[in-house]
Amino acid sequence: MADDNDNMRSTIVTELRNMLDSCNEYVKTYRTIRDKYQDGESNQIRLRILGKRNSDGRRYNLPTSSEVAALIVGDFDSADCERDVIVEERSGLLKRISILEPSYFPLQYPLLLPRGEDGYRTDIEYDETDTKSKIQRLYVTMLEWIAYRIQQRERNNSTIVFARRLLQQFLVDAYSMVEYARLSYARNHQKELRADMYKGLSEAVLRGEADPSSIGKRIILPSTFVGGPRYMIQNYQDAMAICGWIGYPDLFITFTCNHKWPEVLDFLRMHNLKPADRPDLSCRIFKLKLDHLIKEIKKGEIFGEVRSSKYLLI
Amino acid sequence: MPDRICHKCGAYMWYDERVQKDYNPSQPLFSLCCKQGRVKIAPYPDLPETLSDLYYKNDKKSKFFMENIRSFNSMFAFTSMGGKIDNEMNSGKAPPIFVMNGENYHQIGSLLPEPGKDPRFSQLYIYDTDNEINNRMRSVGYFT
Repeated sequence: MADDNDNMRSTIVTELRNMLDSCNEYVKTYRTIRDKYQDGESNQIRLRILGKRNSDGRRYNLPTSSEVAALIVGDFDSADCERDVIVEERSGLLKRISILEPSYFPLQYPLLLPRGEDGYRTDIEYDETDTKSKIQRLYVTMLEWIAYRIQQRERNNSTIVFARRLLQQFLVDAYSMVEYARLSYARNHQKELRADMYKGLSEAVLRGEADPSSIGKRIILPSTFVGGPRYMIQNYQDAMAICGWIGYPDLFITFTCNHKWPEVLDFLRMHNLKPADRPDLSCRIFKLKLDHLIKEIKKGEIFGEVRSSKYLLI
Repeated sequence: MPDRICHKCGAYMWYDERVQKDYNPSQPLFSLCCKQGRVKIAPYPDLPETLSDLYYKNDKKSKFFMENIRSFNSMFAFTSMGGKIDNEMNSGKAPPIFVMNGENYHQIGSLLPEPGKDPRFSQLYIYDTDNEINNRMRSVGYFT
């Protein structure tokens, strides 16, 4: 049995290698470098992974090999490749790929994006030809891009939603990417967020203490940062204010998600999946049911007239 | 079952996920998938046959692939993930989950490994490609 699996594993790896060799632009570039070494190239080779695309992000997501990366043989001027990642020949050091690089996803998920399709780009425009209102932003945000990509569609050639445990990894990765972007917004916009006002408060509390956190620069998360401490405190205080106004709550309802809900199971059975393979579906159904419950309580008045309600998701 | 298809982008949606829930239009608009049609991105092209067989054929090989898809993916990934992946949660009977601690980032190494070290990630595409299949399997902990 173990032998069987080993054989199957090496067959699959060989097949995948052959497939990526023939269709993935990043792989092709790396193979070119290998061939150069085998031919006895003596100059130093560096690889430049390009961060800029000239094509329209709405129509093309299949970059050509000249768009994804360039080889640099010998010396070069680093001034004109600000946005690009330079991969050294043999440094032992690791270089970070910025979340804004189109290559961020394809380099990490060759089995989701086998052709090296572009990930999120900062220059994808909105299409507002038949929408009533316009939004002020010019370009699609990271969150919107990811939300678009993790949908299941009729003519489906998306690997992402069927990748099971790799989908879980992708979702965590994508979420942390969005959160990183939100955190760096808070870090870079401390002035506009009026962090100075918060600062005065916290310093008054801490005055007189030998406080190690006074060393270095403090970054303050505003109350608009969903999930941050200020956000939680603000909502808690709102809830307490409501209690002070109309009295303490009569009902404390706990509503939990069940991954055996028929809605979830019916759909997953169709695709031969388990609930853990599509965490997004369970969440969406939970939200739908939660909204229904709250509507039932408020409008349907199953417990009588409602004066106020609050809910918290954990 | 999702009971609607977004007429802007084709995503499977539930009627109750529509925007402006106070109205009951026959052709609802959705924000969750495409911002009511504002986000229009070209779909990814069809999968290469090898991969679509592994994903959808549902035979023995494909089942084996899907069970181990994360390890296959990391055999071929160019970059490594910076966060700490916590596998302790998956030892019990509960459904598998992916837990990561710490800051997440993707890193790419140099073209060649340092002398005396095994090739990793993107270096597998260049270094010692005569034994590539074995090197790849060894990179995720299978000894051959």
